[in-house]
Amino acid sequence: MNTRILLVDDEVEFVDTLAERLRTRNFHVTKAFDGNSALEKLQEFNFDVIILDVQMPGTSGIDVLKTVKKLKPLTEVLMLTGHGTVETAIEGMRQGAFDFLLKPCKIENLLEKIKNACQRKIEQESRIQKAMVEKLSTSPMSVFDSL
Amino acid sequence: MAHEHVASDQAGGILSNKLLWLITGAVCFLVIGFVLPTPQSLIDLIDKQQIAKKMIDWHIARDLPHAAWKAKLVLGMIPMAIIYFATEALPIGLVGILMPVFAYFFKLLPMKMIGQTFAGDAPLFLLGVLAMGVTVIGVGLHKRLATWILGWTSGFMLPIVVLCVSMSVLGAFISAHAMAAFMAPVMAAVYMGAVSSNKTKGEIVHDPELAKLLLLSLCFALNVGGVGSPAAGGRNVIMMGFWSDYNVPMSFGQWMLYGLPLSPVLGLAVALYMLFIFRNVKTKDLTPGLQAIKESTKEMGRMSYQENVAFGMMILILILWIFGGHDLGLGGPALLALIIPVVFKIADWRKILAGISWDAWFMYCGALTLGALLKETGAALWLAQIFLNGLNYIGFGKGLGLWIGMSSFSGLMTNFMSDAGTTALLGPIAVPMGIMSGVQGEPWAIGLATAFATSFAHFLIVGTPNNAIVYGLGVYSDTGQRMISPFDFIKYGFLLWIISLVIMWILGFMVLFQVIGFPEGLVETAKSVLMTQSP
Repeated sequence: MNTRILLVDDEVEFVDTLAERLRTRNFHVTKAFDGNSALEKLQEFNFDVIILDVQMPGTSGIDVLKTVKKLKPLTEVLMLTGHGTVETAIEGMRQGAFDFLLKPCKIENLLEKIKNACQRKIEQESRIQKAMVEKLSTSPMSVFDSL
Repeated sequence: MAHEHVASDQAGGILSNKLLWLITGAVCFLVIGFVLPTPQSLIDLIDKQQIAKKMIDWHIARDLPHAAWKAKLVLGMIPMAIIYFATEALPIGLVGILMPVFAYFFKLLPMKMIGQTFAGDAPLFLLGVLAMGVTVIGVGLHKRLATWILGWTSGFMLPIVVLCVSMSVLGAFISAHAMAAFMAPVMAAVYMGAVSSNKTKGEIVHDPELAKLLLLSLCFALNVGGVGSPAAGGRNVIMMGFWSDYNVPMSFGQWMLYGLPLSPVLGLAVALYMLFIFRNVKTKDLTPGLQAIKESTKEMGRMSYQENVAFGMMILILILWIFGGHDLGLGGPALLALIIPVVFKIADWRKILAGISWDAWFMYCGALTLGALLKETGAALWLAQIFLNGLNYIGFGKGLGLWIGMSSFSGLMTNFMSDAGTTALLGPIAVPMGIMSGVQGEPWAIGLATAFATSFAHFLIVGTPNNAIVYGLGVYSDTGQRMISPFDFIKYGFLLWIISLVIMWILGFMVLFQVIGFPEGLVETAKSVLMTQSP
């Protein structure tokens, strides 16, 4: 299956351009132009990686990140930041973001980080699945824990 | 991809209240064992059958009333074991340990006999089977087998039929739980690949019926495979242990004669049933989804050294089980699964130890202990007489009627508790019932009927780990929503449960039992053990 990306930034032109470039590389891209609509889409769909602008009006990137980590802790987040907000991006790393990139970023760097983020997600999901299967193999009743 | 959600503590309701069930089970034991009077019929039985004398000779009972009380204690363990197995009030391995603990502390068996239930041929066989599973799964051989099987198919009906028949046969030899764990995400991926071609405005239009068809076909097919060989599950080995107790042991190959023909037929029945039930599914071409499996198969490349050794080991052990004869037993070849991977460096010894489900092993050994307690105290014989009298009254007291009755009960029970627990509790009662009926082929016939039916845990999600695993891993990768609900098992599994039983009755009891037949003198040999009850 294609990697599913949620692209969150208030700069419409930037989002449209980046989404197009990612789609030509077979990524499934969903766009959001502010924090609230990003969180709405997150409730409805699963994403492998969220590319998230740090500086947005309304709900900030850090607040979106915190909510993502509560709702979908396995989803990896890449913070996008301008030069003036590097400290915020570092704060984001402390809050659980996978990595950050400075804008404007080279597409090759972005693709590399997306690939690494996906890899970590797959490994974590695999460990969780393995633990779940081990538990269910000896305790089918534990399936009620996940209902 | 996994669905990310917060676990709910209240979802299991009253069933999750483990303390309640712990106490309930204990109360059942205490009431039956210490409060209710000992039935006179039980006292008379163990006196007449010399069971009390045997227990006195073993120094585990002072006199007849004391021996009868010991039998009553074992009767009290039955509802406790049922409750604990069904509700998992204690981890199942611990429930298994509880059996020898009771045997020791209440002196229900001579000490050396208690240990034997944990170190005989059956427990060693089970240990080897679990170890074999660790190695086969560890080298990824099950993945190659599954992708080989499905990768060449295309269309709609063919993949479903191939899936069901292949899983039912594989499930007879390779851990069905591991196959479920591997194949559930594969089926989810096949589903996503198939519906991705239906995208509207970039979003997938889901076909929930297709998702249910794929996942439920998988787990039902794996379930029915359990009849095929003793390696399919501990429940089959437990039954073989009970036959050995009556000096009528069945070999691995003999079980396959009766069980293996049933596996693909039941698998085909699952496929046809599911295709009929889901005949109106919207997506009728799985080829796009199967393409991903084809590509996975290509990426795997040639079989690695580890896979070759694991495959060779499986074949060697299987040949030894079938042709090794009674001298090797089942345990002898099975233990090779612990040695070969380490010697040939395809698995690390500590990883094998870590991968063996000791929970399952303790449960199986505990089940064997419970069976021994039921037999040696006369509790099983007493229950067998009661049930047989009841079944005789309604004309189901022997032969086909008895097999149908027993398999129906066992098939029902296995949906509520573990298959091994079901066999452990019903086996010691069913075997004497078969012997007392006097029909040629007993007690193999009733034992097979009881054990086969424990593979039909289709209609409750907790009936078997296969159901729970398929439910847990079956999620839509884009939304994280579950593909099947617990109610789907009742909705689609109940009728299949009936169909599975009917196929077993017709093909198994009325055809295979008649065509293959049974060795001469089985029931006579078993009867002599039952009547003398010699230690």
